[in-house]
Amino acid sequence: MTASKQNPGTRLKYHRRLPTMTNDPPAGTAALDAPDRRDGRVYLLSDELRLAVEVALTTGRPLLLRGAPGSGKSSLAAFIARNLGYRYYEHTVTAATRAQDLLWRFDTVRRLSDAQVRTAEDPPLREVDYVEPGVLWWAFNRDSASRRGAAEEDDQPGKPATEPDAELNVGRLPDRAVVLIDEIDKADPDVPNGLLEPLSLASFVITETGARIKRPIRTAQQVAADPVGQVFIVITTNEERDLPPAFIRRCVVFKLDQPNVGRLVQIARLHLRGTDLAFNINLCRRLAERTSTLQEQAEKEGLRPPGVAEYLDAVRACTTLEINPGDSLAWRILAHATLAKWQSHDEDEQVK
Amino acid sequence: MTNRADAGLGDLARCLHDLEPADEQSAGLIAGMLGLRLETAEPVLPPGPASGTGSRARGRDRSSEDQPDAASSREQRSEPAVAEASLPRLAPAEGQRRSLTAPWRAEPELEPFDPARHLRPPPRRLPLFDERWARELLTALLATQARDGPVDEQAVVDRIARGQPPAPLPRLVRSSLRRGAQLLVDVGEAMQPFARDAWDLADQVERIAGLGNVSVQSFWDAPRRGMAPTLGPYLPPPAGCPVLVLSDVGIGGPPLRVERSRPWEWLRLQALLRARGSPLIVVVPYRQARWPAALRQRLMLVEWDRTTTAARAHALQRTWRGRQPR
Repeated sequence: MTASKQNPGTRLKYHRRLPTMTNDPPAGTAALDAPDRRDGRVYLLSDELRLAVEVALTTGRPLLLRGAPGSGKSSLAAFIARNLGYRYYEHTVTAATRAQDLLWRFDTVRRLSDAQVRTAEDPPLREVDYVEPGVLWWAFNRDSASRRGAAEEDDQPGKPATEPDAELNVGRLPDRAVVLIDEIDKADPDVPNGLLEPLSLASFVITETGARIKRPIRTAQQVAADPVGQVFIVITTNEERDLPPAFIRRCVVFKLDQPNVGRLVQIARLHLRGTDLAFNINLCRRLAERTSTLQEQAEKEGLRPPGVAEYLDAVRACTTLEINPGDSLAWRILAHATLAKWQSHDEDEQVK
Repeated sequence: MTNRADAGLGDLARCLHDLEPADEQSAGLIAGMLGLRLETAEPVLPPGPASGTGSRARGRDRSSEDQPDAASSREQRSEPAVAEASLPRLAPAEGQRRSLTAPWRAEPELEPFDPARHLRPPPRRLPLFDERWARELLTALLATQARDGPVDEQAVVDRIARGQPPAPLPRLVRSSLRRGAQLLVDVGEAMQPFARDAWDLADQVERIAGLGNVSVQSFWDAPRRGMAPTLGPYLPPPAGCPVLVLSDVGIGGPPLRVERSRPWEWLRLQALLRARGSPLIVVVPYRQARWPAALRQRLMLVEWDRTTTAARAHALQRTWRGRQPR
């Protein structure tokens, strides 16, 4: 191992295989268009989290990110994808999500409708035309997903499937992808179990067509030339529900803690860089201290503490509206609208 | 070494090879992310007691023979240097010289008491449901079924073939926890021995069904007598939400206890919930042979015991699903 491959300036010493990650904040007011944007342009990556990403890519296992809401779990995947030039897909899990939704859906209703209106002269319906690829399929095998699983030699190609986030992925590596499976703890317990095999084998079978979808196998020479994994899967959980042990066993696990005051200020600096908003370190520090106080208070009371997203909202609002933390009614209303959402502005002293 | 060793050992070897961690912290972090823990191959023993000239002299002799550079070795291990020369020698008082010559006094090799090494933590308390399948077991008990799964193609084709419109669109039955649960914990006298188990189970149910999806309430002996702590009326959950009760159903406690619940109280509760489409599941910390005969075939009772498996829970659900409303 050469010295240059070590990571000087950081506490952790190991052979870094990934390039240096950079931030590229959007210019002008674009940063305010969508505060929770997933373009991956800004993220403050800690040494420990970077190591977790390297471990996940080395082992080829999904990275399971635990941590409180607002601690930066969901933003990591897009940041890594932008820096590595990987395509980016995401799926936000809900209580109605099934494991199959991440792999494919079969549009039964459209097929039924087509069957009703077709005439004897029309060509027979083909099952593949009603298959809608999910994010994991797009990540494992983009070409196959685009063909909806039809064989390459199929002489009657149907309408290609629409790639999610196609505009974001223009110019990115066609055979590499990052997938964000967000808030998996919202799903029924069967969902993680249903993902065990697809995640372990990078392969699954479409029951309606019988086609097996799998990630293209690379030759030994290709792996030796570029050993970094082709697909990086980030799964987040707010830990509202336990995940099956068998699922956790197949993941690289990392817990994101709430950032301290200094780190919050660094995050604000990164997010305001390049925007029309001036970075006021004193304001950001005072807001960070109040955020930290409110986090402690919320945790004591068993409430959801404010996270990075709420802190950034407060920074942007205070900077734009020129409101300073203090005793003013404007500040108290702003603080309760952004940081202490569990209280009304006239019932506590913590935000002053 | 770990509870995730089966999946993580190969991954760890690969990471250590590819990432070449150069310090213990990095290696430890990598192992931790894979659910493993790196341990020092040869644990450093704590320094022995310096209790008496003889033993100290022997210790010095031994170290001078085996470890010619003991001081530097100690420095490497970051052990505090012992200022032996500064310790005053204690002379035995008159009249005690004879007793000091006793063999057990002459060889003061007894290891000093070290709580960290000699005290062991109390044995772990085992939960009443075996933790290996408690999650699956509770999931099976609390899952409700609804016709909101994928479109039932067979039924659609069947209706169209009969010339009937497929509206509403028939869907397949799907088990789900989305209706959450109402958890009623019996805090009556007979359930006091199981208090910690009950609250642990309540936590577990919340973790499985999701925070905010579970309403936990407590009562004395029978829910409809009034809920703790104010004896307020029992309010059923939203229609269809399953109700899980932790109770002795009147089995436990002193034999002459008059407050014990009666079978008819449970049957009335079941009738109330049945009318609202909510399944009632009662977890009982007593073996089946002691269950009230009036309840055995009429209430879905589950033995709160380590021998109850997830398969047993699934079987119970299959049996009772036909009798209880969906």
